[in-house]
Amino acid sequence: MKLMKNLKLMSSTAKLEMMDRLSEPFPFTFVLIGVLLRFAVVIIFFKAVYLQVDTLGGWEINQTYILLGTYFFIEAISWASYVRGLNHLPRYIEFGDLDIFMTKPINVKAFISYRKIDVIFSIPQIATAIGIIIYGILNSQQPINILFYLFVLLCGIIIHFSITSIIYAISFYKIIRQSTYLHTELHELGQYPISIYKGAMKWILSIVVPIAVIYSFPAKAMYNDLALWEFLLVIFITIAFYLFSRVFWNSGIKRYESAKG
Amino acid sequence: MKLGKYFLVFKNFWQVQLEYRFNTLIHFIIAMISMIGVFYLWSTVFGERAELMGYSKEQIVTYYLIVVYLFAAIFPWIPIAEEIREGRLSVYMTKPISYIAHTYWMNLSKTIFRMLIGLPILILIFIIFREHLFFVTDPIAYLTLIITALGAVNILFLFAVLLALIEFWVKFSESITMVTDIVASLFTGTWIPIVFLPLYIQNIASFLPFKYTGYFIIESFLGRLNMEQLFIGIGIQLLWTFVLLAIVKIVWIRGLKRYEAYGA
Repeated sequence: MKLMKNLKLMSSTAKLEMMDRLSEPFPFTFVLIGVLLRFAVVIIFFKAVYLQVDTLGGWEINQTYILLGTYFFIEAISWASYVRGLNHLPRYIEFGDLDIFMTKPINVKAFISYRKIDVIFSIPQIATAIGIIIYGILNSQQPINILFYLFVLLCGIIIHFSITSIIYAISFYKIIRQSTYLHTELHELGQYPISIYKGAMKWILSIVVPIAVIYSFPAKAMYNDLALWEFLLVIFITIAFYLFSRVFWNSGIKRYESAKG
Repeated sequence: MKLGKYFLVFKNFWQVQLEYRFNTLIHFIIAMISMIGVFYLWSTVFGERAELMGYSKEQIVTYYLIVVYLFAAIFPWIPIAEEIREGRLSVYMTKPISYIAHTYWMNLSKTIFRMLIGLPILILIFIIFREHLFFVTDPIAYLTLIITALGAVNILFLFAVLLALIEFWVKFSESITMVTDIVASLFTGTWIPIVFLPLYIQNIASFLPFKYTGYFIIESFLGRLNMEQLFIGIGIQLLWTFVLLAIVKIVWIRGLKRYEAYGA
């Protein structure tokens, strides 16, 4: 029943957001052009880097395209669904607007997450990201494992959601106005192959802030390059971060004191 | 133009910035996260090589460090489009000040404040990671950095104003700014030093002002330009400043004729 209620609410918020966007299509079209241009700039950057080297930490350019496509895909999916909703959280907390949601018979975290679902403008981004992945696959001419890729990608999206909700939930403890900036800067570390990171940093980005697991591991899974221990790490990190994000959110919301109250 | 009233604007916004000093500090700390990726990426690209395109590994890491520091400080955030859209421009129309000059001094105040707040972080990074960085010892280079950075502040400000003035004709023009910011990021050299880009992109960059708001500044600071190139670069910065200023004046006058103080 709870699931049905959430699905209905999700559908209603998506419709409202769509109406909002279609009432002012001009700015949203430019934002979309901007996002697609950023994809192009990132690819130009990596092509320039690959003019200097044959492989980047053992990753050839086509594998990096799959990594970038995965990075753009998760970025598009997350911004179209939960990031745009969650990034309002610091303001809700600071100005006491969270009261509006807390007094309603809903799951606050879920509702805030899907409050700003964007159906229309995310489609070209997602299509472009998939196009980059397919381009990488076609050019590499290596055997691929799509199902394995999709499974690890799904885990990556769950980890991404967990990290995102943790970043924004920090504001329950200390208001961080730059939460979105922090979120963006952290995730940008994931656009590079994990193998470029050495020593402690590699472990930090694999376990403590598992950005690499979100992006590099699906790209490795596509070519069956993921070792058994890495696969087990993906499962462990996914469960651990999901549970931790729930605990972090729940204990944070208990600290919330309406600023207006 | 009497500067006294604008110094007051500068001072007022300095006071406002003081209120948000902790947030500014956090902004710089977050900006430095990208340096982790930059350091490991270029360490991998360099491998055992001593130099690439004339850069040592230390120089290229320093290049990015200065880029991150500068752009966290000098990137203009001006409320012009919002004020036109919401009709708040009218408030300034009744005052004996130039609105553009008022916004310039506000932006300059923010920029200098952010530069000062970010400086201790920059120095700390230089001290901790000194073996991976290129330390510039020539005092002239620091003077050049200040002069060229000021030139960049002017160009970026005028370009931002020009885009914001589109609001006179088109609602929510900030979305256009997002597109131009992304294009500019490639030509300023914030993604990668322009010399690493394909030749046709380098050629396009030479005809745009953006190269002189990032790449040129750091190249001169790192001592990679001779005196002639430096003076030509500063001359081009000045030229772009005057060109943009002229365009801003024309667009401002035409835009004001369309202004209806809607929402005021």
